[in-house]
Parts: sequence; C-alpha cells; structure tokens
Amino acid sequence: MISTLKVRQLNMLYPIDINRVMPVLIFVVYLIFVSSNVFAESNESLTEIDIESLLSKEVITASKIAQQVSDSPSAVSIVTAKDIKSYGYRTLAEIINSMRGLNTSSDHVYTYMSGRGFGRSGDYPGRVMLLIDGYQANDNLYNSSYLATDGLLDTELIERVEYVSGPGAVIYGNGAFYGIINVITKKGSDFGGTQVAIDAQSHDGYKARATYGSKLDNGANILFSASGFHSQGQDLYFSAFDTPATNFGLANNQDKDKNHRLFFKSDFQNWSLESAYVNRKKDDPAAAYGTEFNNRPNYLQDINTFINLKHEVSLSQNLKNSSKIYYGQYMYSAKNIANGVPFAERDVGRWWGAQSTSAYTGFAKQQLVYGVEYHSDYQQDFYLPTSNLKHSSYMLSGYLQDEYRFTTEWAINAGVRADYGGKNASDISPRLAAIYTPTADINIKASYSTAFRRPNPYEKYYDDAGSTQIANPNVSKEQVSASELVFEYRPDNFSKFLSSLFFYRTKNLIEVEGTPMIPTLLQAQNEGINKTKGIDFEYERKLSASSRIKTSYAWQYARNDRDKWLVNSPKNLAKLNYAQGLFNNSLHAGFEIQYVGKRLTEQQNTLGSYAIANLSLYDTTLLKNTTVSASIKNLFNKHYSVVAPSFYTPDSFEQDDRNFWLQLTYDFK
Amino acid sequence: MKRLHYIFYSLALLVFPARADSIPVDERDMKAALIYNFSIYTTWPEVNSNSFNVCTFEGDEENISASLLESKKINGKPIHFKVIRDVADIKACQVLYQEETRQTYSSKHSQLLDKLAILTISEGSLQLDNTSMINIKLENKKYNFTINNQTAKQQNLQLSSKLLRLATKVY
Repeated sequence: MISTLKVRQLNMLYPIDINRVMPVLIFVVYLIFVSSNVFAESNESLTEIDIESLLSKEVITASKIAQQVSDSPSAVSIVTAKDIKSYGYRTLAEIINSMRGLNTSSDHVYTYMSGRGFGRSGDYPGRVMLLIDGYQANDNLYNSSYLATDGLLDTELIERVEYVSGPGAVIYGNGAFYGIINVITKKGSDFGGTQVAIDAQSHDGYKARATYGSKLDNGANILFSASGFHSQGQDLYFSAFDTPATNFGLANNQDKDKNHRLFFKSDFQNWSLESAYVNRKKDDPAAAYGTEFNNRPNYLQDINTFINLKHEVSLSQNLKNSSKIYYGQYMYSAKNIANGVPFAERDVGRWWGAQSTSAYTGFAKQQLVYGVEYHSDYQQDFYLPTSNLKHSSYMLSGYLQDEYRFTTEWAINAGVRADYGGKNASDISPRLAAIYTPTADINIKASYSTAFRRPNPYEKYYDDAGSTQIANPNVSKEQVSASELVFEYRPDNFSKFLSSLFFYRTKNLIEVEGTPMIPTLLQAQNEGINKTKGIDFEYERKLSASSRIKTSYAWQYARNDRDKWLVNSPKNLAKLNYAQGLFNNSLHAGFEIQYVGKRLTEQQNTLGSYAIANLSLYDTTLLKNTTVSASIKNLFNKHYSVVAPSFYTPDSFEQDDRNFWLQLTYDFK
Repeated sequence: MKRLHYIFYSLALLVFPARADSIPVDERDMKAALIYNFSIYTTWPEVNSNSFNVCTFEGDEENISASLLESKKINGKPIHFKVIRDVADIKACQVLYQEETRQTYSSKHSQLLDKLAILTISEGSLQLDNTSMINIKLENKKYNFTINNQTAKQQNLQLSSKLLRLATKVY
C-alpha cells in the first residue's frame, strides 16, 4: 500500500492522480502476467486437453538435428549419444577431437585440450571449464578437466556434450575462460533395465561395465553404473633417451593404465542427486620432471569424486528457482625415482559449495537470470618430501543476466558477475551481446565478454625446495576479453550452418615455465598480452533417417606479446564426420577424418601437420539383445606426433599407430 | 467516478482471457500428446506387462518428446518409451510409432506385426495401406489423421467411435 504521505510526495513530483493510474498499472501488470503465462505454457498441459483441441493447435516443425540446450549467445557445437555410438568414442578427449576448432594431445599420462588457438601441452588448467550436469568438475589444485581414462564418466553414460566457445564467466565465474564443455548424462529410463558391456582393445586393454537404469513406479528415475578398465600398454621408444644408460630409449612395461568408476544419478520430483567417482593409476613412460627413465616405481594416481544435490522449483508462473549444494574431492599421488632417491607425493583437494539461480519471465519480452554462489576450497594441500603445503580459499559470487527481445528481429543479452575471493581472486566480468534474427532461419550474434581465472594452488604455492619448482605467491589472476561474431543459418529442419569470427585478448596469462636464472627450475609467471584471432565454420546435415554428415574448419592465429606464434597452436583444424546405416539399418558405420595443422614445440621446432581417419561399426541384430561395436582408430596407420610438455625431456611424443577396439553390450530384457 | 474506474478495469480483466490456443506447439510434444490420446481411445485384448510400452525404431526416437509420454499412465500403467533395436523386441510393445522417412521393414517385421496386438502409428502418407493403423499428417501447420480400421480389427484392437469420428478418413 502506498501511504498518503508518499502519494502526496509523488503528486508533488508528478502532477497526475496516482489513484487513477493505479488500476491502469494493475491492468498492465496483468497483461504482462497473462502474456508471459501463455508463453510459459508447459508441454504437460497438452496431455490434459481433449483430442479435438489438440488437433486444432498449430505446430512448429522441429529441427531434425541436435539443438543446443545451453542458454548462450555464442557458438555451440554438439555431440550426441548417437554420435558417441556411431563413431565409437571411448573418452571425452575423443569426443572433443571431433568438435569444431578443438584438439587434444596426450603425454601418455594426461590429455590436454586446445581451443581458440590456446593449448600449451602440459598446461594443467587448459582454460576450458568442464561441467557435468551443471556441476563444475575441474579439481581445486590444478584445475584440470581429466579427459581420458582419468575422466569421471564412461562415454556410454553421456547423453550429449556441448562445447560453448568463449568466456562463460557471467554464469560460471572463475575458470570459464576460453569456453565450456557441458556434459549432460543419460537418465535411468534411457537404459530401462540392466546393461552389461565388455570391451577389448589394442595393447592388452580390457574393460567391463554394468549399468542399471530405470524409472520406478513412484516416478523416481535412477541410474547406477560401475566399470573397470585395465591396459597393459606398449613398450614405448623415446629417441631422447636412446643411450646405453637408459635402455636405449625403450620404456619396458611402463605404460600400464587402469581405472575404476562409479556413477549414480537419481531424479525424484523436484530433487536430483548425482555422484561420480574415478580412481585412475597410470605409469609415466616418458619420465616427467627429470625422474629416472625406465625405472620403478613410476606411477601417478588420480582419484576424483563429487556429489551434487539439486532442487528445482517453480515458485510462481514466472519465477523458477534452481538450487544446489555440492561436495568434491581430488586426491593425487605419485611415486617414482628421482636422482637415485625414491620420491613420493600426495595432494589432497576438498571443496564444497552452494548455488541458487532464479529465472524470472514476468517482464514482457525479457528473461532475467540471477543468482548467488558460495564456493569453499577448504583443503588445498600438497604433501611433498620436503614440506607439507596447506592452503584454503573461497569465492563468493553474484550474477545477473537479462535477455531483452525488444522487436522480433532484435534482442540484447547483457550480464555481469561479481566474484570476491580475496587478493588476486576478485573480478567483475561483464558480457554484452546483440542478437539479430532477420528471418526465422538466420541468427547473427555479436558479443563482447570477459572472464578471469585466479592462480590455482599449484601455480601459486607448489614448491619442492628447488628440485623442480618454486612457489610464486605473487602471481596475479589472468584475464581474457573476447569479441565474437556468430552467424547461424538453418535453411531447413535437416541442416545447420555455423560460423564464428573471433578476437581474444588475454592479459597476464599464467604459465609455469623455467625461471630466467635456472631454465630447468619451474615457476608460475604472468605473461604479457596474448592475442588470438580466427574464424571457423561448421556444417551439419541429416541426409536420411540413418545417415548424417558434419564437417568443420577452423583457422586461428595466436601470438604472444613478442608477436611470436604460441606453442602447440595449430593454425588450421578440419574435421569430417559421416554416419550411414547399412543393410536395412542393421549395421551402422561411422567414418571420421581429423586434420591438425603444423604446430610449434616448446623448443621452437615445427611439428608437421597430420590427418587421421577412424572407422567404427555397430550392429544390433547379429546377436539377441546385443550391440556389437568395433572401431579401427588411425585407420591408415599415420605416424604423427604431438607437442610434449616442457617438463619432459622429449620435445614431442609419437601417438598411437593403427589400433582396434571391440565392445559387446548386452541388455537384459 | 473512482469506483467506475475499478469496475471498468475489472470487467476488462474478465473479458481478456489468456488465449493459449494461438500459441504454436512443438512438433515433438504434439506427436507425444497424439500418441497418448490415441492410446486412451484404444482397447487392447490384454496387456500383461507392468508398463505400457510405446516403441520406436532407432532413429525415430528423437522425433517424439519421450519425457512428456513418460509422465503419463494408460489404464493405470506407467508409459515406458522404448527404442527398438532388434525387430523381435516389438513383441513387448503396445504402440509402435514410425516416421515415413524410414524405408521399410522386412517381411520379418510385417509378419511379426500381423500376429501382435500393436497399435501402429505412422507419420506421412505412404504407409497407410500397408501396416499402420493410424496415419498422422501435417497439413497447414495442423495435424490430422486417417485410420485403417480393418487392420486394427484384424489385430483385435478396438478403436473408439470418437477416434473414428475425428479421423479424416477411415479405411
């Protein structure tokens, strides 16, 4: 109620009758309510109305190719469960390698991702945030994403993966730097019972998985999955170690890889609970950080786990809220021989957080999203032979984003986020995007956004008393500002063309590199200004019910403040994926080619470009209730190398030759 | 005078109802809602399974909003949306939906369908005279449907008079 005094004050300011205006205001608010209410009509109501009314409704025909679910004004590439099956993807890295402008490289222990021209091998954070059903899965010591056998998920549990290029700081904050990999997992009902799978692959690799998923009578959707993997690996040869003292460069029995994973997901009414666990142990055949080559013990172990409880509720017709509370844990241990002495390290990271996000659609033509988040990294410890380094940190954040469609053609998406986490960890990240839709099948988006990443504990505090690395408590946060122009064209429901033109400017990029005095001693340093410019294209078409094609090309050029081309930054990347059903769709074939252009190594050598082809087949009719899948990776046996991280003696690493994979999946029915 | 204002606006509110009919519906949601409605107005000889199974062949599942279907029950049994990979699995289905773009199914498929009480629904115009009992078609942005009641009767499925009345054509 407006008090008499206030009415008088208002009447003095505005010579109009408030009492007369008030009903008009109520009426306007009602209209806004009605219009938003209508637009927010849920699809569930369609099954509540009679069939005559249903048949009288107009229909918008749906696109037959995958649509993005991420609410983002940038360019989005999508890989679906169907693609994962067609192309036999076994790791997140293999999925990423098929995406526009992205590439990964492996040092035989970890897999590093590069995108938008940036991807220094051995750079643990990678600058791309990994989200699993909205939970940020990067650890709190190294900010790594874990993309191979060290990853949290079996690919059979993935419903889709979206790559959203560009800073995503407004909604996701610290670390959503060059992009976001958004993984959406399957629901229990997608399995509808028990499924078991056994895999065999080259280099004595075996895997077993059991998954149970179902929607129960009370409406709860549950999914459990457990898997174990073991690979003997290869006896790898490294020319950099080709001396009599180091077994002539041959790492005998030094490539073992094993993991086990657990996954649980349950949705019941407004609640969802999800948890994942992975324990991966890998030998390091190339002897990082000057450890002894071809000696034992020589392994690294990564244990990652999280649990995430989410609650979603419609508070009113126009107000929806999503809240979550999560806990995560990362444990690392390594044992090896360094300078004739056994070395052991153990790191422990623990964190929890809570977030509340609301979406309000009560204003006509507007979609407002706002929220708060508290994240506590309450344990960030390194237990080294020389000392125990114990730290903790926190982050408090608030964000607001509004999309305002002021005409049918034009919309503006503006957002800002404030993060506060103490010194070198506070930032304001804005984003502004204009979206132009001249016709129903064309979308043009121009955006400017910024993001930051605070130095992680490894960069800031890791110090083994000068053996390999010294701390740098003064290292600053890094920041990126990105301008991007995106063009999307959907000529029909079966095809999509996407192109983006981008310019990134990265300030104070944190790099762990040799100190000026002792080049072999590592320390985190802030670089000057790095600049990246590029353009990419993607075309996707569903040719028939059982065949589809997707192709992309990216050109990018990234250079540092001395105008030098960045390490491991291919200027050209091209991909082609083609899937086809054969023999009345009883057999499905997936063929892909990935081209990666020339790159510079840490020692400024040039690695040649390469193109590899993969062929996958699967059949669902050969054996009852059984899917038989097989892949030949690197079909034409191309010999190629990737850039090695600076903490290795070799400058580059040869990658796998032609290799095979076979999987039998049985559904109990 | 003041009271008159309120009466005017109150009346205006009453005569300005939300017109939800005018809002176009997503194709996937519409197909799910139609399948649900067709199932309500169909009588099966008997359903032994604990769930009511709506099936599609691989490749067609993305054309239907599965979550919408799975939120409903038919004759007290929760709807379960199944993707069929092996033709023999259609035995467990009460409804089979397929798109016209899918060429074919072998004689094994038709022979199986001939023996089973499965309500077959297709989108398009070609399959009507073959195997599908209900054929939906999008014309001028709205769906209509035709019924092949002969096939339905042969499989002991009883389609309600309401469905037969609403069909644009009954064979």
